[in-house]
Amino acid sequence: MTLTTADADTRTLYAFDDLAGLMGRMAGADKHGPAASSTLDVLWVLYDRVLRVVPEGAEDPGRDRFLLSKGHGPMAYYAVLAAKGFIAPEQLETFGDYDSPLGHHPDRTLIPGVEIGSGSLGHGLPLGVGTALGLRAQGLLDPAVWVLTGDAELDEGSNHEAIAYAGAAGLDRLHTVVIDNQSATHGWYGGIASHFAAAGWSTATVDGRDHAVLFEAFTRPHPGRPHAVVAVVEPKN
Amino acid sequence: MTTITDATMRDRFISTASALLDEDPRLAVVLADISATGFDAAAAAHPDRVINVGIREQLLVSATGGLALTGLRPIAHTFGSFLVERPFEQVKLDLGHQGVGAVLVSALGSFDWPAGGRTHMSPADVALLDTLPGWTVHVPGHPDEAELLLRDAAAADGLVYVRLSLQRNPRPGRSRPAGS
Repeated sequence: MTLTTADADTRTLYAFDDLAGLMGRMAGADKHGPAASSTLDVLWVLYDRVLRVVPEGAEDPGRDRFLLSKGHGPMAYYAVLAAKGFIAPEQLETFGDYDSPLGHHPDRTLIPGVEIGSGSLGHGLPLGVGTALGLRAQGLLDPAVWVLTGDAELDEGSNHEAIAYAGAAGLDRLHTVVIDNQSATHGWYGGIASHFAAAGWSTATVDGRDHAVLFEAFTRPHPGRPHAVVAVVEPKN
Repeated sequence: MTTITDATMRDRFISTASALLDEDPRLAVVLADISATGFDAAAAAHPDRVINVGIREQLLVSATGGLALTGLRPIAHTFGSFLVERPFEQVKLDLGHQGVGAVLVSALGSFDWPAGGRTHMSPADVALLDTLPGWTVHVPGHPDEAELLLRDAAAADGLVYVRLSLQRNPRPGRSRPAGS
């Protein structure tokens, strides 16, 4: 099955309040439920107000890149992609089916607008480092690279290779948003942001449900440094 | 083609990749400290396309995948044990699963450096890559063969592993038509 993007002229315009209905169209949407909804507000603010990417420009070299590293619970992600016209809303009803491209972890080779295949944790941020390097090497200095991770996902050591290097290299087009639902088994001594700050990143820790505050944190200037936003939501447990 | 017959395959990789960086703006070389000094001149000429991530082999391979996602042709290099075995999931997912192409070039293949001990032996690199779809594996027997295969891999689009060794045959093999 191949997904097609909706035509720009006939596309329905969706608002944040429509996302619950779109998520409800996904059978088995209870799978990874809490993980799915913790990302909803962040995803919406990014796709609605921050990211410069549209379905017609999903292959444009100058587009912003959004890398969903925390591939668990992709229902909110699929709902936002449908709301923004990357996938047809009726496709959501195939979620998790035998022949559906919409699996329980996103696959970039199957879904328009999905930049990476994820699921195994700790791959998005290092891929984002390479993406930022690749854009810079081609003189594409404008596109932003955004990576969404979870606080527990930061347990994976591969993230710390990426955080340390990105800070040292001053990759100022690289951005990370950490969804902090306090699910890391051992927590983060000193707070999550301090680990980024110690590596030379610009950081902000904000309410992950407040759209105005998220937008301000996402668009804060950070010359010469990568930028990390810790979006705090209600605890998973 | 240069014929510096006293150089190792690894030396030839450095000179060949450095020359290719001048010729092909699509190429990038990604390092994890190993062989980095050999690329000093290339890095000065192409600071954005010779990338040394430090001693971080997971990032070496993942950043290679990210570079490929933007349309570049990345060549990642370190010792075989740290290029294939240590970051094997990155090879599997950040190259293969993303559907991108890249070139991996090792050094000290197999039991090249017995005195280095088990930590620096990687006799299973080829076998491991053979468990993943889409890889083309080359095991040259002479620096001249290595250069030919490196140039071919750099110009291609898919996933290619070139395993380099300190061992070498006295002469390069005769080239044969494909399939013979």
